[in-house]
Amino acid sequence: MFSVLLQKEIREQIQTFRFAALLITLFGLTVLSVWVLGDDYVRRRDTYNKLAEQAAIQTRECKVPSLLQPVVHYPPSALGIFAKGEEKRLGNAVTIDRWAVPRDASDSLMDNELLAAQPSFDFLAILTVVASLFGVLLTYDSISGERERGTLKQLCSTTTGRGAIFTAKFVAGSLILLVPILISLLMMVLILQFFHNIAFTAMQWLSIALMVLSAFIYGAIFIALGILCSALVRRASISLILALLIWTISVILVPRIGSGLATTIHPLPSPSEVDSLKKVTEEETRRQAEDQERLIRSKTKDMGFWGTFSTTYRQPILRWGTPEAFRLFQEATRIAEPLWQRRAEVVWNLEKEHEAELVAQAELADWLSLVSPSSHLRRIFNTLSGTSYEYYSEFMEDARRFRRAFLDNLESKGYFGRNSLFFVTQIPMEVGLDPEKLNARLDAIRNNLGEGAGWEDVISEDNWDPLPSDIVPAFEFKGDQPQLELVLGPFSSLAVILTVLFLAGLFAFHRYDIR
Amino acid sequence: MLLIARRQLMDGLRDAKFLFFATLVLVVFTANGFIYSDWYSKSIHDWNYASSNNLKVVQERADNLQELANHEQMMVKPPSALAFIADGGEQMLPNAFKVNAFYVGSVQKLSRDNKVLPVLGALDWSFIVGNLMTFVAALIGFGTICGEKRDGTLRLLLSYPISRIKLVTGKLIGLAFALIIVFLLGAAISLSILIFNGVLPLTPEVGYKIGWAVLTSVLCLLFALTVSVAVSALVHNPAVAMVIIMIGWVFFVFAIPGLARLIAEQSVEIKSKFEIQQEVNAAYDSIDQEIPASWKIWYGEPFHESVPNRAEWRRRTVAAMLKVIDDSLQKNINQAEVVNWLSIASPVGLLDSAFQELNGTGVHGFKQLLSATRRYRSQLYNFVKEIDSRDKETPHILYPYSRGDRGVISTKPVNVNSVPRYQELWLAGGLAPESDLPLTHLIILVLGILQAGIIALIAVARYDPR
Repeated sequence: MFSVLLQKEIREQIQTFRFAALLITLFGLTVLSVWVLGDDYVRRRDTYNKLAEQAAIQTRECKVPSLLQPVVHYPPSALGIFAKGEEKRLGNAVTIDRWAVPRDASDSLMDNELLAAQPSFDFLAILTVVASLFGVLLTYDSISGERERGTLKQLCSTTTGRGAIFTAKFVAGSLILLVPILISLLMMVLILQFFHNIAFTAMQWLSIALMVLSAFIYGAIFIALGILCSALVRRASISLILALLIWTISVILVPRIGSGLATTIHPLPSPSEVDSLKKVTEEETRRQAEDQERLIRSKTKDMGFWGTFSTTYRQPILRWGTPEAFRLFQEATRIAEPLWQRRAEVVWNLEKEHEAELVAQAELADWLSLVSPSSHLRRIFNTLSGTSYEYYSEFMEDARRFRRAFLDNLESKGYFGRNSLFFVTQIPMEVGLDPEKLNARLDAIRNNLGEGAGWEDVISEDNWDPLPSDIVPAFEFKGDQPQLELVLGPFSSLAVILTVLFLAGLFAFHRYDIR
Repeated sequence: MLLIARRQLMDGLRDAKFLFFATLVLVVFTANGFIYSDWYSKSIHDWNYASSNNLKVVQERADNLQELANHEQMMVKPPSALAFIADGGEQMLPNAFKVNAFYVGSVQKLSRDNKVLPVLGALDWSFIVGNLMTFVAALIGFGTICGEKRDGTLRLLLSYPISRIKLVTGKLIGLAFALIIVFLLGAAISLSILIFNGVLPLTPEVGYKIGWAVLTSVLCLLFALTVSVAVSALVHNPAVAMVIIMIGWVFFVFAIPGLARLIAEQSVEIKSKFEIQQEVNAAYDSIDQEIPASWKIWYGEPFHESVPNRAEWRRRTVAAMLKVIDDSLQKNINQAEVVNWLSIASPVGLLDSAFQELNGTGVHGFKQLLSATRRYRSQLYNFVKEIDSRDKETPHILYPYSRGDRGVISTKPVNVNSVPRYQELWLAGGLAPESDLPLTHLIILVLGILQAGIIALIAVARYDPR
């Protein structure tokens, strides 16, 4: 009897205008979105490959350890087409700097900052609004409407219990809602496969399957909501209003108000205050470094020093000097190096605190929108597509670990003192512009260095040995698998919401006056 | 007709479903007032902090004109007190530039924006009116004609001695009144919270702008209402009318702005930081090839014959760098403007863009900041030039990155109080251009209402009440 009921419900739903409307709307919007976002992904992937290649060449060709800035990165996520998430806002490439701990990954192709306030328009966004709205529209009159038409009495006069009738309506509605989702998804995957040549891996297929499952539960929640509303009131027009009211609140309002309130309840520290804190630490380190520098400067006073001798620049540069000065310069930078690295740690600690505040605020916003199924759906989709903050933050952890390993490697191989360059943009007065004099002077310095300190190859960048290939350790990003354990929470929240709505609907229907 | 309007209004105000939504709208307006009061007081605190810091550094540099001319100030856009009308990403968009007497440098973001928080949209008037209240308008309008037919009251109504046109106009006016009362009530709540918290200055200009915002909102609501009445008069089944209206709502509120962004991202390509850096490097390389190496030499002597050459090299280098940066910034602006333009296809997008223009938020605000920064830079440059011309001990050659070349500009102290300050210039209205009143947007809305109204009238005139 249950299957007969189910068949009847499905047959009735399929013939309705709203089902056709749902199918066309969902299909049209998803196809449009995937077409453009697929193109966008391909472009970003190509840009990414180009950048990765260029970064690798730059690292390979670099001869000066102090100029070595390897870039670590991970490819843009193909599933980001379905759920854009925070990927394009957070970035996916980090340039490793000796004197700064990486704090963001913005060296990649990111979103236009001027569009920051525009919400995305991907499969997730379309599902969130369209599937839920039509879920409600499909079922708002399933009980009150039948009562108005007078068919409810007939239905309840059969031998089947009300529980079975309710369940049949619920299952039929959920399956009917799943059909357009599946058709749209199939079309999207086909477009991606054949027009954009994007092939998914097994893991990505698993993610897609889980996305479908979550979309199914999400849709079922609104089906259950529609039936519940129609079982609470006598007239279909009232149940429609009730259902749409709850829909507006849970899908549109709660997430917005949640994040709005979170910024009010848990305010972030003012950016200028954070910056001035950083400046204080920077000043301290600068003073320490300059003390060391002054000491060495006093020793090199009579050595014909010329040019910028400064550890306060990112790349200490000796522009001109005697071999003795050059050696002292190396010594100064060796002293300054640990100071600047310690400063990097201090600044990073400040930044880490700030980032913890950001995360706390976002968690509060999530918590405030706990009742909204759409926020759970968003977390599931973003996690599965690898565009969530958690994914990014694992990458950043790995990038920081990589930086540490890279620096340790530099230090253990004795490269920390060798961070100076020879520039000829500035020339002592007595040499002037006469090329002969200039070359003679350069030769003299080369010779002198060779005798004194064994730095004969170091004087000009062109004469430096290429750096050994093992100077940059291999970068491993362990987070390139979807973090399945993170979707358990949102999945169970969705399940709880569904169960509550289903049971409430069942209860309301049992007490429903069918006259 | 007035009788009909009154009946419809009273029906609406007494109706439980309308009251539900009205309460919801009022709650959201209240939240809007509180959230933006809090936001504004924090943002203005941050702005004051940043500007006073900036002034402090300027004062420190004032003992040396050359230092002052080369010092990069952080020019921050003051938060808009009217952001509660249309946020436009006031907190998320970049809001500062580094600027000195020679160039407008890189764009900065100095706000309490949270990159971890998902972008869900702001809780501004534009959202409340454009998304929420148009939804309410759709809900109260969809049953106007076909609902009465289903209930059997339409025949009764038509038997009254008034024309159908008057009937539908009366109904429309009644519904509109109900909706507008709720809107005005909500707006009053939100405004009084903001005024009570001292966010809104009670100046004629602010009142004028809020007046425009209220007018535009009312027109937008009228449009939504007229469309839903028109749909209601075009079909016979209220369920079908409702589905059509909901599709329309999804399309206007959600799909058009979303698609606008997709199309803009597709049609205007922007550059990554890495690419910009590469282009800058390439530009430097080509200048290095054009310019003899001897031009770059600094002889430690400001009156040396090579200084003009060195200045020329510096100027060209900076110009090349700025060209790359400005181009990429312009692309970002173009992309964002394309989104705005395409969104105008939806009355909701129209409303948002009209509000942003009115407030100076969103891309509009960013463009204002950019032009204000450029104007400030030229003022600063003229100031430096004038002070320098009074010093007889310098060659008067002004060029960027000249800090190290001691003595090419005057190194004497300047009177701190005479240095142009962007903070005061901005607040006095000397930097930002007057914001235009979005008249075009208003006309488009009125045309939309007329169009929908005519369709509704024709449909009602031909409606079969059986």
